[in-house]
Amino acid sequence: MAYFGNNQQRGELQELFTDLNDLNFDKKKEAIKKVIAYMTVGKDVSQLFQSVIKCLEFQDIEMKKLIYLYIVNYSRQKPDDAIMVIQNFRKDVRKSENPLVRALAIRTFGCLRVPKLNEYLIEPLKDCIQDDDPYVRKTAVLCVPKVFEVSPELCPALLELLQKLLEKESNALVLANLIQSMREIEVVNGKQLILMNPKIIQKLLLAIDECMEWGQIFILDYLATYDPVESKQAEIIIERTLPRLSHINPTVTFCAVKLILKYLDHLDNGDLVKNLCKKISPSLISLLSWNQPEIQYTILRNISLILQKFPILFENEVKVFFCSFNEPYYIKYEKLDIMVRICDSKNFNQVLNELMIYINEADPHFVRKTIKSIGKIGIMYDKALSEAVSILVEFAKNVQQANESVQELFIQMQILYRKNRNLYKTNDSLKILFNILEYANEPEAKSACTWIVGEFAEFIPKSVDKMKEYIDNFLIEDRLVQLQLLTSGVKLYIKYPSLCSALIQQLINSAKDSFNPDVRDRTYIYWRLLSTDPEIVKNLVCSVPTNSSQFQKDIRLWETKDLIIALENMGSISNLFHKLPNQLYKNIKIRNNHQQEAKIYKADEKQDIPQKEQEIKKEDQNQQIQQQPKQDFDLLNFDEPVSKSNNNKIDVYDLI
Amino acid sequence: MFSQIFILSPRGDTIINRDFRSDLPKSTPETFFRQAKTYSGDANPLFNVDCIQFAHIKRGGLYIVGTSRFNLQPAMSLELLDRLAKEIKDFCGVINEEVLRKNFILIYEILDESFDFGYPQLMATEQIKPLIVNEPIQPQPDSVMNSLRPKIQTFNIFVPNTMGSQAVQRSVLNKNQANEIFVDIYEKLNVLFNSSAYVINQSIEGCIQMTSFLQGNPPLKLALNEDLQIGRQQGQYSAGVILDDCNFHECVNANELDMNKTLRIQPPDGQFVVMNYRISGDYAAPFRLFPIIEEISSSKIEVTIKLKACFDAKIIASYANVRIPIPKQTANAYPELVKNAQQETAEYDSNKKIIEWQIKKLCGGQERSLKIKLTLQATQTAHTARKEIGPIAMNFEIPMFNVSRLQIKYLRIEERGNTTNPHRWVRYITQSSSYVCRI
Repeated sequence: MAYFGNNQQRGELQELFTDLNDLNFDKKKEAIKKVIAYMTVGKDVSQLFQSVIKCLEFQDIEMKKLIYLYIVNYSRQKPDDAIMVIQNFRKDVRKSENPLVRALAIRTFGCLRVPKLNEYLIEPLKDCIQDDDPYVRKTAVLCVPKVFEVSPELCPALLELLQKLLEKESNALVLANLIQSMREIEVVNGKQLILMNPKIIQKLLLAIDECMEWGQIFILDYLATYDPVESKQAEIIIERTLPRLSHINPTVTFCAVKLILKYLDHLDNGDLVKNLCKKISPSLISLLSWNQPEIQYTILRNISLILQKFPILFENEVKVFFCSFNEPYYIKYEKLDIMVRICDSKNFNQVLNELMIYINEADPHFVRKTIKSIGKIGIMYDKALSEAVSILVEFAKNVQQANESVQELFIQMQILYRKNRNLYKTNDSLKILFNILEYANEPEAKSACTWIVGEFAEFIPKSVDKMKEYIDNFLIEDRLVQLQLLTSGVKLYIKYPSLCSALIQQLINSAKDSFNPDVRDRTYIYWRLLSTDPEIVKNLVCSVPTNSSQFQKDIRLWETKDLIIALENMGSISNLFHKLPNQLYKNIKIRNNHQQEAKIYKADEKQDIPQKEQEIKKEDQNQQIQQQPKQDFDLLNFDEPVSKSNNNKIDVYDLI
Repeated sequence: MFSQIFILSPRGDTIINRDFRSDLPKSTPETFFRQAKTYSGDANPLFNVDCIQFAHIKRGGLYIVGTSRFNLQPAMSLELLDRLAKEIKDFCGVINEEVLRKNFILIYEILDESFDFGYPQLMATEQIKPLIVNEPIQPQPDSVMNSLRPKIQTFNIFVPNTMGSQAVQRSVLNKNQANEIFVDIYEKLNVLFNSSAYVINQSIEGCIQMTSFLQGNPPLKLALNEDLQIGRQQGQYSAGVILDDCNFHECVNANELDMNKTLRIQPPDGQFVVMNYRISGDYAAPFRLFPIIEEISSSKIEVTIKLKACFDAKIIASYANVRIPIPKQTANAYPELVKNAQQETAEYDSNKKIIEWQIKKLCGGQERSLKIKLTLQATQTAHTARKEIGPIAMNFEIPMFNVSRLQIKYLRIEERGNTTNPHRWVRYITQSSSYVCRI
């Protein structure tokens, strides 16, 4: 250490060095505290390694704790010096009367993570796993995965010990750690370590009652990965889990919910299933009104998942999802989403009445989502259609400026008109919309407006002038608007051939040289068709769809096979993002799943509904794939691929 | 599980940094702080950068952060950090930068007992107390940090400020402490009225919270109302107190709740929530609001709001604030209090277009009213503008009052070996959570 220079930092180190080698015990202790303080803020104090470990000879436990903290931090930088500590460790583990010291030593030892030191560790670790004191055992058990990570080749004997311990261990705390560390090794190793048998299950169930909340989480979480062999077994496990539903820790409650929901599939008794559902839903609702919005958010994100398989849980509970005014917006968005999912032919009126209130909120983004939701409900239920339109029309009457929510209004109105063409008469909706057409500025909204002008040309005074206005700006419009302008322009020409001949010429002229191949192609198709036989064009473009069944919305969040994986990971961060674990974390592999059908629990009776409509599914999937790169990992965003896929379908329809 | 836990100062300096698994780069605190600063306002509690999951909570201006590269349960990560903060608070009395810097060794000790290899271990204050050797160092009472803390409480509708309890700011390690226990019954009300003062939706979120400084942690027996009932059947009517659902702390044995309405409690040190409960049934709302809107002319609106306190005259609300959003196109607004109004203020915030009406004290049975005269800009007519008024939100606190009528009949110490009889303090507090009247 003679090379300490004169500069500031060296000076400090020199001072510490002197203090550490001082004979006075208190001075030494103070010096070590300072060393730790430097370490915390990121200063390199590794040069003092030898002087620090010399202090290990004192039996003062506070000092020991500090020195161990230091060693853990620097052992990898100084593996050769760290060897000198080994003797001390072994002495602590073997000789010390104090279980605290034994546990402390073994815990620190495990954290060294220097491969060549690990062989010295195995024997003491074996002793500790068989220690009489549970505090030492619990620490030792967790030490095994630490060693396994660095040098797996040393571990087979340890793993055997763990398996033996699992059979005879009676302390709940140790058991919880045991399960957790064996699970972790299982993941790395790929081999099954825990051999579930009725005896062990019985033991784990007993341990749940005794161990602390975190241990309960470990054990419940593990049990949730297990497939019960028969209905009776599932029943027993569920019965023992039920008390956890009223635990104060939201994660314990949620793990219990997860376990029970999973085991429901294995129950034969239908009445029991119904009763269980009745018990689960109040607990879930309590979690929803948890006083931390963050927890609420995680639960809400999972509920949209649970709903897909268990609609029964929230039957008649739509009120729970009504937004209150002081909630953060990320909660409100989730609630809106769930309200649409939960909406059925019985309660849509209640939902619409609530949404009607939200439309007056201040935040334009929230209002936009509300309008979208109203549109969705209108599409889903024929009976809700006129109610939805009248709410939107009422909103349109008060529009004073171009903002986000107005854009959505046009988009949704277009979709609703498409579902039922006669709606234009309701409450003068067409007239009111026409008055605010100028507020459309987003491409999608503009395209909706042009569609409206073309479709209802005969009911709009000066529709030709309006169209001329649009066509004059053709070249600066977005592709989406251009495509729609072509179709609408042709529609108008069919309706008023003499009035629009100049107009259609202008349209084709500006569109035929477009840089966009889609626009160009569509122009040529119309052009050729018009020059061959306008009658065909009329049949194609102006025909009114007879059935509205294609507007059935698919609001499923997940595909069946993904749903099963997602349900297994319920509550985890990947579900928070509505993704599969392997999509979020590259290092996670998921179990392959060949199950094609999921049992859906409905309110009236439990039914097996094989998921059908392959087509929709495929399209959804494509949509999802397209969406994925766009989604960033911001928690507060939520994307809805569904409505867009619907729009695509409509576009296709227009073309044919 | 957690790979690291670190605590950062508001400026991003590392105060505590504990690495459990060494599987993440050392630079995560900087990564975290840089990302957290990209948010306007508070950062999301959870975010993900390059497959590293960051969970954090903010306490006393400090960031308490946990990192992981596993598919953790987010609710659990946040709960763990919250527990850690509570532990630190139990040991140090308060959480702020100065205290944490002074006690960093103690905090490393706490961290080591609470987590091993990132897995939560012992996380209850009284369990790790025997394992901790350091004593907390209290900061100077009148140090610079303390004097810098804001003393003025501002009106904030989102975080209702409650009256301070003398039970807080004290360390459990303090040896010569008084032998006492505090019991608080908090109830937060959610009420939604429609324009004709009819209740659309209401619920109560309540909890019984204890702060125990009992010597030797003797077992307790807590008795609740005899007409208490848990679980609501559809269409059932009962005169008693019906809880829809409740949950309990680990130290509570609720086996006798159905029979004798008693809870057996093995109280840990420091603060803990004995039970949470939720009530969705009808209850008498403590305040009623009666808004009347009149269109005086095409550009003038007059809003009159009556507030009635519908509880016993002996009970006094410690504050009641009403917030009325008014149309965006308002040119000017004049809130007028009644003549001789005392301890009342009404102000117009022209930026936010909000009228804030604050009442300092309100006795039960009393009625107050406020008249607001609005003048609109020429671009909007009174007819369309009146729709933009509201919803009116209320924020209040009523001490020694609870709506659910859930009561603590007695709190007994089961084995009284000690000669001293500990002090038991019970208080009831009712607060607004979301108390809204639509217009």
